[in-house]
Amino acid sequence: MNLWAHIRAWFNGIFRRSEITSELDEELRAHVQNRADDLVRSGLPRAEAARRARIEFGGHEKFKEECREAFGTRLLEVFLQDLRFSVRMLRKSPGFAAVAILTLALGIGANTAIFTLLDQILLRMLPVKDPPQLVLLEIVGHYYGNSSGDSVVSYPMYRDFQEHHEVFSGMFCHRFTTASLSFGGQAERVRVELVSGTYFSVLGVHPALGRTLTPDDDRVPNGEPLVVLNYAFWRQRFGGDPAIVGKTLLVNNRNMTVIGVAQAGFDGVEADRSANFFVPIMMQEAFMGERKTPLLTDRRTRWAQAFGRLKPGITREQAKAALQPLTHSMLEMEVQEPAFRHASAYDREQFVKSQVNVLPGSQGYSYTRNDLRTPLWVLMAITGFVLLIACANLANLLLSRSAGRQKEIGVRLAIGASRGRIFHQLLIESLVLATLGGLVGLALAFWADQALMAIYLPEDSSGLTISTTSDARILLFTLAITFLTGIAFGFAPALQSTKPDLNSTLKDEAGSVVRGGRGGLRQALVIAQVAFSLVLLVGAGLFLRTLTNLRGVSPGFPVERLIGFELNPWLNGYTAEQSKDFYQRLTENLRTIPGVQSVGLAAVRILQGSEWDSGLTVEGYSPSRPDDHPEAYMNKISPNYFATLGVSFIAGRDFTLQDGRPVKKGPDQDEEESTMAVIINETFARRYFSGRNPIGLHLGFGTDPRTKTNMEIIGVVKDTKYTGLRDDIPEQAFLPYLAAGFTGQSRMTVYLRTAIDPAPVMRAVREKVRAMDASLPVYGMRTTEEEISNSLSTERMIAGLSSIFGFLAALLATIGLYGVMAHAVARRTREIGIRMALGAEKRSVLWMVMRQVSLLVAVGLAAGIPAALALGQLGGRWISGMLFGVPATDPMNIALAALLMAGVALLAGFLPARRASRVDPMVALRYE
Amino acid sequence: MTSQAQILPGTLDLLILKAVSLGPLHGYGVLLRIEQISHGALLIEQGALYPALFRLVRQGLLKASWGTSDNNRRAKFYELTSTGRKRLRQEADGWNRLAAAIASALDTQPEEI
Repeated sequence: MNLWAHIRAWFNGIFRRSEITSELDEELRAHVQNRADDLVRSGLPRAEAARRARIEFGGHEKFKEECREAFGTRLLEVFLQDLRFSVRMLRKSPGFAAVAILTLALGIGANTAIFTLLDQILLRMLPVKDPPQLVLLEIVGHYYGNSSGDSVVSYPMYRDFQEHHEVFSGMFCHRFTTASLSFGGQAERVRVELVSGTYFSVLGVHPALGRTLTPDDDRVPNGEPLVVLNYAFWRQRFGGDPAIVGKTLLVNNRNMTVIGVAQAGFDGVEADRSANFFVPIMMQEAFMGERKTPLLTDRRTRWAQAFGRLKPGITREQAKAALQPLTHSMLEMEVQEPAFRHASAYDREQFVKSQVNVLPGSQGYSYTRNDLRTPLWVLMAITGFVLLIACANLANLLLSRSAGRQKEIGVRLAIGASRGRIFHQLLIESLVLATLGGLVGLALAFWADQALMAIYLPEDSSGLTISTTSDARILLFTLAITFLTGIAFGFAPALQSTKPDLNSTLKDEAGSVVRGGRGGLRQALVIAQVAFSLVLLVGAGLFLRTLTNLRGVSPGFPVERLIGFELNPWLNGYTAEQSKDFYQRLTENLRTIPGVQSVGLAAVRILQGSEWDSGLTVEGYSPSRPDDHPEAYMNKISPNYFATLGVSFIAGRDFTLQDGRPVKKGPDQDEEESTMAVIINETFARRYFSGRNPIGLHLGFGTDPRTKTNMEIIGVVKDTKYTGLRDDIPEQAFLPYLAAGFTGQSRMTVYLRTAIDPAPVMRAVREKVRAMDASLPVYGMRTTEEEISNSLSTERMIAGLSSIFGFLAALLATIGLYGVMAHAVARRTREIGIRMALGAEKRSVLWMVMRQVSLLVAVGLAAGIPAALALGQLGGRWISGMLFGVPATDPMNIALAALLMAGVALLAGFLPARRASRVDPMVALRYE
Repeated sequence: MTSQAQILPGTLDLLILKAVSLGPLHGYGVLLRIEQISHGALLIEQGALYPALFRLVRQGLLKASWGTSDNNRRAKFYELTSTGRKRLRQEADGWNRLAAAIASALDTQPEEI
């Protein structure tokens, strides 16, 4: 048969159905009339002829049906019929429909909401050409030098890879940084990606306007002041001005020319820090500061991420194998360089053993992704459980509904509907419910994601863009789970209710609820719900305890009324001398603000996850193993920093401005050789000076055998947290910020302790800074309380959501239990009436029902507790990073969850039990 | 109509195609034509004709159009398409071969073995 005829027939069958049916009627009528005419001609009277013709023709409707079937649209017709019927049935019981749709909307909505986040944060690939081909190079092993960032290499190393590799069709490197942008008389802090000239061509990102960077723009250090704007930034900051190309921007006090706007939707290769614009990496000094050895030639500083695009057919493993010899020869060459002349034999030996790693790069790089990976999967699992519980609940509801519809279904079976047809129709009813639930769920998910973003994402989230609107992927996901959900909760009840069960219709169905048959399935569902809910409550308990534990952790100083903010005058063109002067004037000016008690500066903002650590040489301490040399987290601070934070000294004294100044000890010494003052913390003193008085002893920067120990310990302070509340207190060493070698080329954090409410002080601080230099952006201004609260945002989100879902699950399980018991009691009304007529006491009836409730709950808990323990055992290591101060299998926590679950469930069972005990024997016996 | 035979399953389509191949017909006409060309030997359930006609139309072997019958009634006329003609030839050949084979099988005498 030709395809066209087929399609036309289908089309006609669907869209011209009523026309075809009436034509068919006309044709059949004409047939019967023709036949009657012939019969009249053969001598029969007209009335008799007409009757005979009709009889000869046979069942009109039956043949019509067969004709329609021949048309191939019967299936669709059946479907539409069932659909109409299902909608009618649901409209007849709006209460049931509402509960069902709401339950489903919560279940599906929760899944869609979490999946939206999961998809965007964990699964989405970069919007570039063929992202799976992209890889990120990483050197793992013992490093000798400075390193800044994750998975970074030195720039010369990147160039070596680029020139000698054979596995890539192209390579690029990039470095994320921030800058100060002045345009149209307004200064602001912007996010910038320093990129190689190959960046756009290797990624396959096209210009939306003008042009992008090419290797020709990547030749002269400091000589390529060009800017490619991010599309969204161009629209937002420059109003989408098409004449922007060729204009000049003042970036870090340097004129740079806009050459183009990148393709819409491309935000750079860092997923959680969208770049406002892209600048050739040759310009790095304008962004990262000048050094004695420029970063572009320094092999001892790793700071740029190197990406490659694999040639077609090359796997990551093949690339790794091909790059390893190249890496090894680079390391062998590096270790011969003068930079290693003081390195120990151990350091050299270990250094050349480093390996190259080829990481997947299709998603670019993201710090957030690594932090949120486990939490998001855990949340996804939790919502999956919630949906399962919702399904069980609906299956239960449908079962009790089908018990009520037994008569209707019986009649339909009796008048000739096939079992398959009724099964089909019941399943469609479930799918209609699921679809409606899915639609409401989608709306709910959108709203929930917006709320989540608002509540849990810290305001200062440095350009992590998460869109809460659903796209095709999200819709597809929702559609899939909606369909699966419909089948999952509808299948068993539909099968059950179409089972011709003569026995139970003849016999009274009443009996103990803890018996087989239809009741058995319902009980199994309730037991499963109780067990699942318990697991979720246990999880919620763990995350709540984690949050409470973390909230109870003190950073080592009082957090109230402590303000911090950041600035970086160097980005506005300040020289070292100007910066030094600026910071001193700033400190004095801020101190004059009413309500300010104390002002202190630090180079590293603490409790932010950032760290600066360094290997040290400690006077009088020799490491037991060569790889166990002393290490400390460092900071450069001003006098009064500790006083501002409220950290007291155990021994010695604070810095004075004098400590910052280089001291020449004799005419031949240059500044380099002068000694510098250093303060250490308690943990450092304990670890490396156990018992000895550290004051007056010396430290040296670096771990080489002949390191000069030219830093004199002048004080020991009490311990404070450094990177975050979760982390143990590390060994710390503090240097004066104005010490020799101060370049002012990095930002400073200013801390203020106030005596009054911080809000008005914050305003006054901005005023003061504006008065000193109006073009200097002040950023990251917040109280330490806010900071701590921000740092716990993930924990808060997990604790909040897991509690909501845990209680939702428990609520659903409770409703399920209530439904089963209420139904059982209703069916047994007469039996209970008889019992009471025969003298059973209220209390014993109550107990009879409660015994069954307890049995269900007990079995549910008996299944749930080992499940929770097993999950804790198996998943404990996996989620241990998400917990704090509470083991995954904490018995106390499980006991509490079980108690809670049992309490709520027994309460839900008590209602029908009480109703049973209040049955009036007379009414009950007249019942039915 | 003395001895009428029930038609074999599957042969109705072939008979309809043959009847229509002799000239466009409406449904009742198809019935009369089959009676006529089988000399009244085949019995066709009248209603069953229509599902078969629908099927053949859907398969593209027949095409249908509305017209006026001899007695001035509006009627749906069926005629053979070119694929229908081809199909009729194939089916007729097949049927004849089958009939011949069965006839020869049934004619076999014991001594021929």
